[in-house]
Amino acid sequence: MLAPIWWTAFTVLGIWGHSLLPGVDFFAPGMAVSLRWQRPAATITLTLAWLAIQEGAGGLAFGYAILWYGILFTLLTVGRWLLDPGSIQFQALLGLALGLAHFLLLYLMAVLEMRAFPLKRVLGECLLQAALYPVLWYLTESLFPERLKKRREELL
Amino acid sequence: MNPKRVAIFLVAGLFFYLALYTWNLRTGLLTRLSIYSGLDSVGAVLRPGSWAGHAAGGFVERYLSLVGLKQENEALREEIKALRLESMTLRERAEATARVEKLLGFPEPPDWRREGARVIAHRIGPTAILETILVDRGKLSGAKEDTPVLCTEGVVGRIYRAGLTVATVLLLTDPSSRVAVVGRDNRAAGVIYGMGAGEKLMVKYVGLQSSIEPQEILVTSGMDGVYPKGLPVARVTSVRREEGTLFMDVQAEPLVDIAHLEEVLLLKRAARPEDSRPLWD
Repeated sequence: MLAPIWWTAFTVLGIWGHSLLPGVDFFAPGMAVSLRWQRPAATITLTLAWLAIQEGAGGLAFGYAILWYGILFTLLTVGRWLLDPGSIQFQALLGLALGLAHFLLLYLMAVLEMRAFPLKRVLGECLLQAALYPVLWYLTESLFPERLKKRREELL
Repeated sequence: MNPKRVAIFLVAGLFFYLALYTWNLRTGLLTRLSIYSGLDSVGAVLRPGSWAGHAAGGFVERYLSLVGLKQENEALREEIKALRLESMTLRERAEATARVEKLLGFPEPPDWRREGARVIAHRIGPTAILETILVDRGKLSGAKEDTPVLCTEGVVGRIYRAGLTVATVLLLTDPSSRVAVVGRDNRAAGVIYGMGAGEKLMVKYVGLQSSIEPQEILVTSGMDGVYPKGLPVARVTSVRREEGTLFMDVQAEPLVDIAHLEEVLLLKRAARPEDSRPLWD
């Protein structure tokens, strides 16, 4: 029961984060933590919920969030083989990659939909995404209940 | 992992994504699903906080406004007197216009119902490249796509996406926003284009022979089929006539202070069509 409550609170805070700092994904660190400490089914459920929230509340046509979480999943999976997923250095590198991915994806979707692309603003938001991701990951990882971490370690 | 398998996995994934994207563009099913689930859940999360913020802000504002209340009351009384006088004159003119329209057999304008809505958020999430606000009215209260949104100063925008209980409003300033307008005094027609947050609006297609002056108010012409006629939209800030072009270079500024919007009005068209008479009548 603890895990659903914790993830609901995380999602609610994430939505408030999205409202206060548009252009930054507050759910991305959740995926990193969930992949590390939760069963794959839990990560899939959470990703589907975050995907619906982002696609529904966002301004673009459906499709951005699938690519975004697909890229994040790939980077986390590949990165796990090469580096320690619990290190802040790895997460900082991931933040940089996400900042770049955010820019490229938004540009791609804006071109596909023939929409104006506010370059300056998007660049600022990408930098913010890159800088905030490791901080948010650190907070999420630290606040994730020890009981759930231990349970996962026992299972493994 | 075998590189061949990785390549097959990537190509298959890309193919699946493109198929899904194209299928959704055609059917809109996933977009609707995400609006009814994602947008409404965002509204459910933000609404209580927004309400609490408004209540707390209102309390502080009421307390602070006690200072200088007497002077403000006197100024408001004077304003009411002036407005009453203006209203009297305008009522006479409106009644005369209605009589003339009836005599000439003009169709009656459609009925529009106003409904108040509270702004619960501005741009939301990583994909917020459009200039939007989120309001606490959705399809359950009759708000649907393209419903005009205004406030007491003028036009704010139109509904872009409507969930069951919340809706996203595309603002006048967004680069994809277009509003057909006409000058209130000189009746020069044009189309207002948004140029992004904090930027002046562009008024396009104003003919070189038209008359338009700086400070003139632009009102909706009703030609776009979205906004009713006569709603104030923007004030002209500059007019340039250039040689070798068919149209004037006109800039305007919105009448609404979009950054500080807290409440808006949704204009809902009554069920009766605008003009139900057949064309040959």
